[in-house]
Order: sequence, then C-alpha cells, then structure tokens
Amino acid sequence: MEHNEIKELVILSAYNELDGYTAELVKNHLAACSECRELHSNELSLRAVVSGSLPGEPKDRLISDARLQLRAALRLENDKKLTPEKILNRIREFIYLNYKPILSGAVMLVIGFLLSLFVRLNSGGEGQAESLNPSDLLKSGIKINNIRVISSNQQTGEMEIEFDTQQSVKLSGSFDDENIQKVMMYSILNDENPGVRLRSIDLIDSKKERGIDKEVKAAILTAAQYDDNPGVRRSALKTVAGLTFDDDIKNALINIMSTDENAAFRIEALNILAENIKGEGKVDEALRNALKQRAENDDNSYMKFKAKSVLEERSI
Amino acid sequence: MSLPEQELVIKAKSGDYRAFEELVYAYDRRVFATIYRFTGDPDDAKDLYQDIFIRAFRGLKNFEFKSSFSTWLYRIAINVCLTYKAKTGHRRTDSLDAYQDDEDESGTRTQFKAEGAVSPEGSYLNSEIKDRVKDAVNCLSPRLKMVFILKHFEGYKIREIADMLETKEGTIKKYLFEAVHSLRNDLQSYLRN
Repeated sequence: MEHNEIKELVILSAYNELDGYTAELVKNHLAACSECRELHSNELSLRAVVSGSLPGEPKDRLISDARLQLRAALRLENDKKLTPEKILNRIREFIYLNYKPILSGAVMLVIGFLLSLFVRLNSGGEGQAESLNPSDLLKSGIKINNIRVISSNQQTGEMEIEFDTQQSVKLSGSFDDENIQKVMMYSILNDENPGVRLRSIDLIDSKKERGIDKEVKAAILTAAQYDDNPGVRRSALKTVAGLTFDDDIKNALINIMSTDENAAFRIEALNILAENIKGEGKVDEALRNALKQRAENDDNSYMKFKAKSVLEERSI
Repeated sequence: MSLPEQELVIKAKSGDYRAFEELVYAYDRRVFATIYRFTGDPDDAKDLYQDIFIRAFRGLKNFEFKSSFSTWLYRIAINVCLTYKAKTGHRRTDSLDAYQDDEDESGTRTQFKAEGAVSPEGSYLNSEIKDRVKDAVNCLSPRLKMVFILKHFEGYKIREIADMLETKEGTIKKYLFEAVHSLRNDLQSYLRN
C-alpha cells in the first residue's frame, strides 16, 4: 500500500474502523515511517484534547428534569389521541356503571367546564381577552390576577387592560374516583408549587390502603425519583414504601439508590428494597449489580456498609 | 427492558403508552448525551429532547421495522438537531457558556482528564485550550459536527452513522476526514504542545 493511502487510513485507525488485515498493514507502516507515526500520534493527541474539552456524560439531574418534562408532554399528547367515540364511551361507562348520583354530578360538572372552556377558546383569537362585565365576574367568584395595561392615552384618559381569570372547580367523589385520582396525578407531575405536589402525595398516602390507580402509582414513582424538591421526593418515597412491592417499584428504588444526590434517600431506598426482598429466593441481576456498585463506589460510608451487608445477607 | 424491544415497539405502536415510556428510558440517556454535546446548552438540549420523543411518539405508527428502533430514533434526533442549527444559525459562541456544568458542587472548576493522552502532562487542559477546542468544534458545519460527535463521543461505527443519516459510508468517511482536518488545523499549536 502506498504511503499516501496509509496517511488516509491513519484517521480510521485512530477510530478503530479498520479490518484486521488493513490495521496490521497500517501498524507495520507506522513502525517504519516516521512521518506517518507523527501523524498518528497527532491524531491521538487531537482525540485526547477534544475529549477533554467537550462535555462528558450529562448529569443525572439534567436527564431527570428532561424526563419529567417529557412525561408531562407525553400525557398531553396521549390525551389528544382520544377520539370523540372513546370519550363518549368513557362517559357512558362511567354514568351507567357508577350509580352514585354525586359522582355523576361531578362528571357533568367537569364536562360543563370543559365545554365552556372549548366555547371560550373558539370564540376569541389568540391572546385576545374577552369583553366581560367586571361586576359579573366578581359576583361569580372568579379570581382576577396578572392585570396588564395594553395601551393608555394620556390626553383622553382611555386605556385598555388585559387580565387573567382563575376559577375554582369543585369535584366531589370518593378517593377511588378515577377523575379525582387523575387530578392528583396531574398535580404531582405538573404543579409548579412544591407545596401543592406535597399535599397531593400526602393525600394519596393517607388513602393508599384503598388502592391507587396505576397511573397515580407511576406519578408517585416519578416524583420519588425525579422531583426537584427533596421534601416532595421524601414524601413520595415514604408513600412508595407502603405500596405493594412489584417490578416498577423495585426499578424505581434501584434508580433512587443509585442516583439520588441525597444519601438519606439512597439509604431509605435501599432499606425498602432490603425489606421487600427478604422472602425472595434469588436477587435479580439488576439489583445485584446496583448493590455491588453502591458497596464499592457510594460516597457515603454507611451506604457502602449497608449495601455490602445486604449483599452478604443474600450470600451474593 | 423487561420485554424484547420488538414486542415493546409493537405495543407502543398500538397505543400502549407504558411501552413507549419503556422504549424512551432504554435510549434517552444516549440520545440526550448526543444532543447535549451538539447544542452545548442544557436548556436547549432539554427542549430538543422533548421534541425528539414527542415526534417519535407521533411517528411510531409509521415505523415499519425497516431499521432498528434505535436507528430510527437517532434519525429523528439528528433531523431535530440539524433543524435546530438551521433555526438558531451557525453560532460561534453557542457552546461556550454551556460547560459550567463541569463545575463541581463546591463551585470549583474541575480539570478534565483526556482519554488516550500521549503523556500524563498532556491530559490536563487549561481553560484557554478548552475554549479554543469548543470554538473549533462549533466552527464545523452542523453535519460535520454531528458526524464527529456520533463517531468520537458515542463510538458509533461509520456504517451505523451512515444508516442514521441515510447516506453512504463513503460520505460519512469524507465528513469525518473533513472534521478531523479542520480541527487539526485549528488546534495545531496545542497538539504540538
């Protein structure tokens, strides 16, 4: 092979893209040719310099944030997929199967609210405030906030303002009601106020013996793993401890044990796991690996000790 | 993943939201790393991440197993990244402020240990060199930059990158050569030292 051809292959060689035969040829050529050797060394240098200067693996917290946002966006996307037929079926099922008048009333209330929202959205252009009588608004109990002056004329004194309105919706029903659980789930995943997220989790925790919907459980697991607020994560973790142990819970606990920045939460996750695998004959590979990693690499010495103890107890 | 990938994809195609989430969690870390390196900005990376997976969710019904799911997903990711570049323009400084994440929790800027460095001394880079490297990488055209990231950081084979970009292996090699030559020229003085 010609010297110039080898020069071309040096880059591919640095990236391990050559087959065995060609790699051997390049290796032999490098041993004999100082120019290509320098080029090769230059190539390795470039790799080292670039690798050290661009970001490494993104931090877990960054990915957790992205996942949390995606989850909320996917839920919205999933809801969009509901066809009118599906919605009607759901309403029919609900009305016929549930005999409690109060719950039917609640559904009608929700439908009415959604219809009024739909009519409102369709009656005005984007960003255009409705022309309403403020006295009617105030009488109806709607809260007004975020008042903005759009334009004002100093000479005539005329002005145009815009404001947001906020209306409370009351939903009655038992804790088992699907709609009530959905509101809770939405609040856990999407409410900006950690206090509200915390209250929703606490409410679910206090009623969990009545059984919770699988989506609510998923929301609790998401909060336990990815919520920004440690108080919310702690509360969600406490709720997780009281749920019936299954693979979803196990995976979430392994994730918390492996990635949570707070050692107390990692230890708590490990304790819950240890408690729940007591009766099991064999520990699966994912858990075994996670425990080994914690026993060897965790920053916290108690966590290391605890992980090691669990591994020893299970004779792994 | 608890179910084989194909089974998960079939379930997700039929509207199983949980199956789609499982697919997301199987690949999102790697996708995120790529877009983070490409944009150099954590917030932009989060936006693109969401865009990519929402598009995947919407487009899954058209996925016909002509390629692996990960290749298909990466095609979406690459398109979204290249469109993002086209929208935001070819900024020289877009990544420069993004690496503050490399600071440790005490606020101390950490030094990088370079992989495969020729000498231990050469593996520690000062911030000036890092800025120059970031500049040099940002000066690459979006396609060259993407190919370089997929090869250099993600370790994909040229054949796999060609599949993702739906082009020939020869084209990818050409992109890689161009990227490496450009970087070598820009960083020559640092490489000698």
